[in-house]
Amino acid sequence: MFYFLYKIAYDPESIFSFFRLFFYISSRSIFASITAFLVVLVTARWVINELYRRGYRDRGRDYDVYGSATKSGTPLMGGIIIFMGAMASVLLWCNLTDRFILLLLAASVWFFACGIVDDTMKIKSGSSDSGLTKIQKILLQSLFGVVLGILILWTDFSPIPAPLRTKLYLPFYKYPILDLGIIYLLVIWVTVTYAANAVNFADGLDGLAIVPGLFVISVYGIFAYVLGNVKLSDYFLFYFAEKGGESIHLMSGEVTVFSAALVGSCLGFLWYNAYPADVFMGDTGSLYLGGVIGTIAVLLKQEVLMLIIGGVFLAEILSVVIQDWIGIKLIGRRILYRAPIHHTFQHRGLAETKIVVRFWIISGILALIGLASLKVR
Amino acid sequence: MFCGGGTGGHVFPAIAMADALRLADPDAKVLFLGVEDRAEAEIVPSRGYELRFIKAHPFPASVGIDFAGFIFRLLCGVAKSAVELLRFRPNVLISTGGYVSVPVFIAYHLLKKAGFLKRSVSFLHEQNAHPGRAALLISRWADCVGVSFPESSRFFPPDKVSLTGYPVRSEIKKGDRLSARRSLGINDGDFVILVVGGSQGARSINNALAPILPQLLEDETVVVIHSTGKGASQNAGIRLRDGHRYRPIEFIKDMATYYNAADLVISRAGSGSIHEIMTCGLPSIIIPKTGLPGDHQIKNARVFEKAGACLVLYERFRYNGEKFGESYVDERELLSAIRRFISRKDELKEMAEKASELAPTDSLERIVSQIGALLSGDGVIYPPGDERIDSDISSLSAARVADLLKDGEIELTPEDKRYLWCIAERFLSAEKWQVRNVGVKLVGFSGHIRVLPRFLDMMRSRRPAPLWQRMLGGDYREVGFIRRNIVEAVKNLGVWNDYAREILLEGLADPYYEARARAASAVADLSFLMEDRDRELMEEALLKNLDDDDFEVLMETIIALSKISRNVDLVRKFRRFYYHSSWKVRDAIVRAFINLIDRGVADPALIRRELEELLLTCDFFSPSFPLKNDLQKLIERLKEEARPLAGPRSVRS
Repeated sequence: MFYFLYKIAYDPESIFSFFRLFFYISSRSIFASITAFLVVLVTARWVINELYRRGYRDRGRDYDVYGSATKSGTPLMGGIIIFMGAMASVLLWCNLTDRFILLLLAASVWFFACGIVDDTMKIKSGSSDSGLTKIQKILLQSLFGVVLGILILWTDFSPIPAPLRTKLYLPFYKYPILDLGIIYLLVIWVTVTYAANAVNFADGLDGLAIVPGLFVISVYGIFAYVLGNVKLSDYFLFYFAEKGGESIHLMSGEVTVFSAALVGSCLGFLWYNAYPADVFMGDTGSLYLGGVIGTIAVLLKQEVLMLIIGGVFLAEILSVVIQDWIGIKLIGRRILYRAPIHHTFQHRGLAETKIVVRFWIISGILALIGLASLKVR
Repeated sequence: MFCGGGTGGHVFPAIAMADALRLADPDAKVLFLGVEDRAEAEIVPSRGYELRFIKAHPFPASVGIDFAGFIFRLLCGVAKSAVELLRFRPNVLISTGGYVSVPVFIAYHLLKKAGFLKRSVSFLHEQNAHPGRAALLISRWADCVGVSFPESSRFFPPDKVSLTGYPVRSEIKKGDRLSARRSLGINDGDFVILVVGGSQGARSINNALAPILPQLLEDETVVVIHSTGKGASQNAGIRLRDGHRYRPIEFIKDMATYYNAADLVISRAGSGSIHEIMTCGLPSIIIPKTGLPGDHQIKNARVFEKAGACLVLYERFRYNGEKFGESYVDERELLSAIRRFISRKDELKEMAEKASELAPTDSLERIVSQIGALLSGDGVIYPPGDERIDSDISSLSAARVADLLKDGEIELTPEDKRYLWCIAERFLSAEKWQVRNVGVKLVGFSGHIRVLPRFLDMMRSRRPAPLWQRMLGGDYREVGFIRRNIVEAVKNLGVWNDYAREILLEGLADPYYEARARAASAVADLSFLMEDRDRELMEEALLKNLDDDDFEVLMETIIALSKISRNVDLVRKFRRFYYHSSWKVRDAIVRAFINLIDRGVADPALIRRELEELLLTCDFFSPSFPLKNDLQKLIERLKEEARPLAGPRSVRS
């Protein structure tokens, strides 16, 4: 909205000259962050109470089972809070005609809706096993992944310049390693579903999903800024479609504003989700965050980077695959103590707070390593 | 038109229904559809009914080569059935289940959809407590489903179920005992045991009967009449010992007379046999055949066992080394069951009365009038009652039962236990480890001590897992979970003998960490049962595990040692763990110290000195929510208040 205000009313000579602030990506990003944070801070209490009142709680309405040492009874679906804050801020501060933003808005709405459906089903039936089935979830995520892939790879709507579209880039290497052609659709699909599920698995302890998610989004925000800035992207040698060719620019600046808004609302959510939590994000939050992270990774062509900066999520999903699919289903033994991996640490006797803080530290360091790939190329 | 067959179990009720329908309407024309080479090919023509053959194939277990044959025969069968249906134009299509009925009903359904056979109705009769797959499939196309057991109605569309009962052949009825005996040349005072194996004979019953016959016949009054099944009398090792008091018969034609002469029946649990026995009001030992589709014989038997109308004796499984199990009837169990009945005539009488109560006396009439009602458009006239049939554990999957038992949500009656033993034994011989694993769990929860030798074999078996499993990190065919759960089962069984000891020793040296940990915990649990020698053996094995890398194994080992060792030196051996990185190991040492002091092994002063050296930090704490604490207090209070209030209110109403 403010971007349009600038477009319409900006004149260096008039009293509206300060409208130029609404043009710069840097200033809009900061405003977006603060706005999202404030929106969350102001609305969260009301949302949490409303969720509790309507029975959207862990273990449902039966307060007889709310044990004194357990978190049962904590409101679920806190993802709504993150979504509301981020959306409000994006609508205010982003250039809504930008195709990056339109795709990200679509991802937000889609995954948020999937999460809402899943959580509602779980709460209605009173059991955490009876939401969407695994296959239904994967199908819904895949549907978005495939549509996104087709839009990006083969339509004029794609915000990515044509020579870059099907090239696969690795962190720490400036040239594309492969032109995958149609197979790139697979990369996009895997990235989106992987991200959504990985964050979903990580959401198990208070603050465990939100902070690593916040780091990942921040790193991608910085990448988007660098890529979207012609000078910086030339300086950091982004992107060459082939060896010895000219650099091509990915005008992804608006993604920075979007990321900043999301970071702000994640911080606001952490305000309430910090141990001991007032609210859980639920699948509403984890699918939404994961889906958006996956989409950003695809849009910035930094899919592989996610494995590094989202190393915590990788560990979570790998532990589940190793333990449940290989260990328990196939070879009939536990390979790890428990899965997802944070339960292994709990089993070993670490307190929840300790595990969470350690995971934050790890994800912070991984974010730094990821950022290093800007320069070390 | 009738369809249904494959085994006598499907054919005989169809014949009974045909006879009854003909009796009700002498003009009725009857045609049977069946498969060549199966039971119906012989039985149906011998009863004077016309039989035509169609192609059909049992459901394939998996999608494979079989599946193509299945589809091909199904299509042929549907085509042929359509031709027969159009030629015969039946007013009523009746099925008694069995895979033969599937193509017929598909053809019938299609023709009806296409506008043919407008004025015809279809009726499916289910004989068993647990319906077969064919019956489940075609119930959606039938106009009405007649059931023999109220227990089976939950499987079918509720508005179609009609509780008709099982159509027992009209010639079987309770008759005069004396005249029946006279015609067979049996004295009035003799105790007549009738052994029947169902239409297919029963090798395992025959095999069990042979060795105990001499002991049975020691009693001068016992007469055994044995329906051996075709050609079985030669190979079952049964020789004619006493022409008068042991009578093997290949196939009994005049069942009614024999039933009426009998004091006790030993039989399979086919629906037909059981209902005939009930009709004649006889006490019985029912030996259900295991491993049939849906275990329907076991489920039939349990329905009558619950009502106290029979005694169920389950088959057991024998293991020949690495080979899979083979079912057999334990002859000692059979002998003691028979002897109990011979000596306790009052029990026999009581059971006979209960059996008479359950007799399906008017089933044929019900079926005839139900079919009549269908033809006149009246729909279902014998809806099953609304009262909930209390669910039996046999209606749950074995894995679910194991879960419920683990959570302590169900309690087992002695009958339930014997049922679970049978299931568990069969599962233990399954090919898939997942199934064997459920078997192991069931053994532990149902207290089936006889399996311990088998468990020891499994623990010791070093037969490797398939290559692909080993590549993923598996080791032996008896996978880690199975070995862990065997150890766990030994702990739950709570008995101590040579097998238990050897199993736990194997467990302590197992390559799988959970098995080692649980074995140590089982040793601690069972230590109070052990003799000194066993304790020493265990201590020796446990001490080796102090070098284990796994913290869980260390924890359990330390605790177990503190419970069985009488050696103060143990404290010195713990010293190297005083700064262990896992607080759980250090916590185990603290708990072990308590045990050592309790048992008087260690001097309190010594322990006090040791504590100076122990790292007492901990990475864990368990917080609690004050509001929820108070909430619990409030709820307690509310419950107390609710009690006195409930009294007067209920009086007033």
